[in-house]
Amino acid sequence: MTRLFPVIRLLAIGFVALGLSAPANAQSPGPLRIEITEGVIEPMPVAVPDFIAETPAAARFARDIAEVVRNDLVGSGLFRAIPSNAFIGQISSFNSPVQYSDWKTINAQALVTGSVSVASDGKLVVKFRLFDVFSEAPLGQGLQFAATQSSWRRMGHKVADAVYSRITGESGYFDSRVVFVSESGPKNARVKRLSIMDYDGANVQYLTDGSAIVLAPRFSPNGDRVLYTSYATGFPQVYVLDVGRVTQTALGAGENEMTFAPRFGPDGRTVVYSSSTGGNTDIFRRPVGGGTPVRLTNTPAIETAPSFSPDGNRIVFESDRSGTQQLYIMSANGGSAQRISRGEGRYGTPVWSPRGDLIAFTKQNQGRFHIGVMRVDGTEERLLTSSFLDEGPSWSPNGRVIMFTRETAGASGEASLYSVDISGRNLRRVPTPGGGSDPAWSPLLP
Amino acid sequence: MQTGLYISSVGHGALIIAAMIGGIFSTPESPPPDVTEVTLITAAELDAFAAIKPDVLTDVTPLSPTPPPVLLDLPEPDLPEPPPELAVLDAPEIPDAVPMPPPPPPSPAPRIAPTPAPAPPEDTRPADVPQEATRPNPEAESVTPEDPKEAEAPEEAATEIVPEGPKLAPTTSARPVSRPTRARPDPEETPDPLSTAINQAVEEATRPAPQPVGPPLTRGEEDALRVSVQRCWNVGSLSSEATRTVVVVAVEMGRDAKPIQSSIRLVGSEGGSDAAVNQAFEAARRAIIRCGLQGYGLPEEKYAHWQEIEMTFNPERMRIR
Repeated sequence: MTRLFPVIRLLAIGFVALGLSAPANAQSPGPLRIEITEGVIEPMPVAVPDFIAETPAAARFARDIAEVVRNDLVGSGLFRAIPSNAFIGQISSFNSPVQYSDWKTINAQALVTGSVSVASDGKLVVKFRLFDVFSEAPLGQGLQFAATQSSWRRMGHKVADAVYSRITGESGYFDSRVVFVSESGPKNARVKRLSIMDYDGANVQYLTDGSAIVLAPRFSPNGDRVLYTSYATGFPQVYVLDVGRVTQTALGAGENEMTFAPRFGPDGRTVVYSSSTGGNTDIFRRPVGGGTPVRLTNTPAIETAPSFSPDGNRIVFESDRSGTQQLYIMSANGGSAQRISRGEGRYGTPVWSPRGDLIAFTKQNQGRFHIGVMRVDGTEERLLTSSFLDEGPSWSPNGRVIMFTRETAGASGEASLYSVDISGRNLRRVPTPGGGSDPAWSPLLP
Repeated sequence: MQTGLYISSVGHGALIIAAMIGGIFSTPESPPPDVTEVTLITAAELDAFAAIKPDVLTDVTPLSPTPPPVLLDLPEPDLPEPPPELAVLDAPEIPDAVPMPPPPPPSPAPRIAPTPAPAPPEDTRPADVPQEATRPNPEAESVTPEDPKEAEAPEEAATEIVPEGPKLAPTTSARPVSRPTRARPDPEETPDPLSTAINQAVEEATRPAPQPVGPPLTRGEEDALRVSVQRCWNVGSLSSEATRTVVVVAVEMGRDAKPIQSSIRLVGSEGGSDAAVNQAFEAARRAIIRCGLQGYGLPEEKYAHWQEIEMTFNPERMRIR
């Protein structure tokens, strides 16, 4: 009998559990849990009506600034501008409340409203607000900018940067500039001039007169200076150009020394470059203002195209020390280097991402050129483009877009600037007057 | 017998007439042949054509392989005006953005009157039907003499509060007996599993249930919901960091299977900074709202099962690495 007692107890527990808890569970099922793992990747529909002109003199700016905002957002590949003829609601006043239902109907997920006025001192005042249509709420605070009328495009870029940043969570890149080599004339007598323009190809200005071949310009970290290589003396030599004053000075080189492929360090005071003497090319570092060069590599191989990591502690460069052109990383003070490129083909012109997580490069394999990215340790290599000749990648300030040179084949082939998202999508030609090569993206303008 | 002969004769006759008139046995008309219009020319004109030489290059002159280089007078380079054009980089012209006040909320329903009605005078209550103020009736002025009453003494009062009821409560009471000390259970002793299980089961069973519950959602119904949300989950505009962030979003649903917007909340996340979590949550919220505008088409009889939904948005398979 005592043996049966535990059995009876267990049966009783089971009976109670089954008899009482079952209906209880049925009546409080708890939240339904599902997992979403597949989404869509498509441009977000955004409505950017023409801004409201609060003064008669601002009418042109109101229309044009809104157009700049639309072009910036659409050009990023992440947004799709809803055409104005699809609008149901109209923005008649900047401060009037938004009728969200009008914008939901046309599937606008974000709405940008703005106004432009000309102040008594002649300055342009631009206000804007961003709304999350489906949440029926403003997305962040409204902002107001004031600047001279000649800076109206920059104000459009500023608005677009703010919209981009609030929606994507990343900083923008629209209010930035690109320095590049403008090419004109026949291929065998091409005139190359150092040029600067807005990131979207507007406001091109020439910094050199084309009397000497110029190559590979690179912005300083704050965008006030440009390093480049010039053949003004017959030898390639590195120069520093002050963008504000348009004055240039040679970095300084020894007799019969060729210097090229320069790049600023993150502090803006150091420059790394390649130096070639006696048929050997190595990498050196020196202060921009002058000083003794420090040798960072010392091998019989050709080592060039150095690029600092954002923290300034490491340098990625290309070298053919293994027999073919590959990518290596070494300390900013030189020393042993670790090869990071392991795929087929030849790798060159590495550039460290401003975020520090990726390295962009040019790859030549099986007769094709590619722009690609890889992790700093060489893993997860992805080729973003493929053509007859793609080379010279340059990162956008936010590390999301790469601009590079694409040259077409044939005697009439011409170099042009292109940009591509690091996902490999949104390949676009950057408009330039005539040909263009060697782009270098500036940081975001202040 | 002759009837058949007549019928046969008439039938055959009709057939022969139809064949002759209707053309049953005639061949269909062939399509008209292609016709090319030609122009007749004379022999003299033909001789004139033959006299024209064919356009063939017979005298080929080799071109010089490379033209000598010609130095052109290039125009003056379009150098920027140093200070005004490029001073933008030196001196920022756009100062820090000034935050603006939030936009006004949507206006309430329009007022009927353009100006507010004057406040009513004090102690005046609005009435459905206006009434004129009462006026004193002069006829009621006459005073009706009251009946004479006897003199009455004032109500009896006391100098202290005395309860009017009968004095039932005792003036004193004994102290309550102190609680008997219980024997403390031995910490080594385990609770009785039977009684514990019974207590728990009874407690759960007696918990009030919100509403009756139907059968749970089928796998197909859950998949349909998942696909509906996926169609609106756009990760294309998310930052790289946000695409490495998993967020769990809770939402309460109305009986019409539409999400209650105000109930959408973040209940958990994994990976990513606060900003990335916020971006991922916003994208998830947009997906839930957008695709739920027309309702998710869930079976109403199973409402208790989908009244609350927790959705885990995991972009691992979508992210840009």
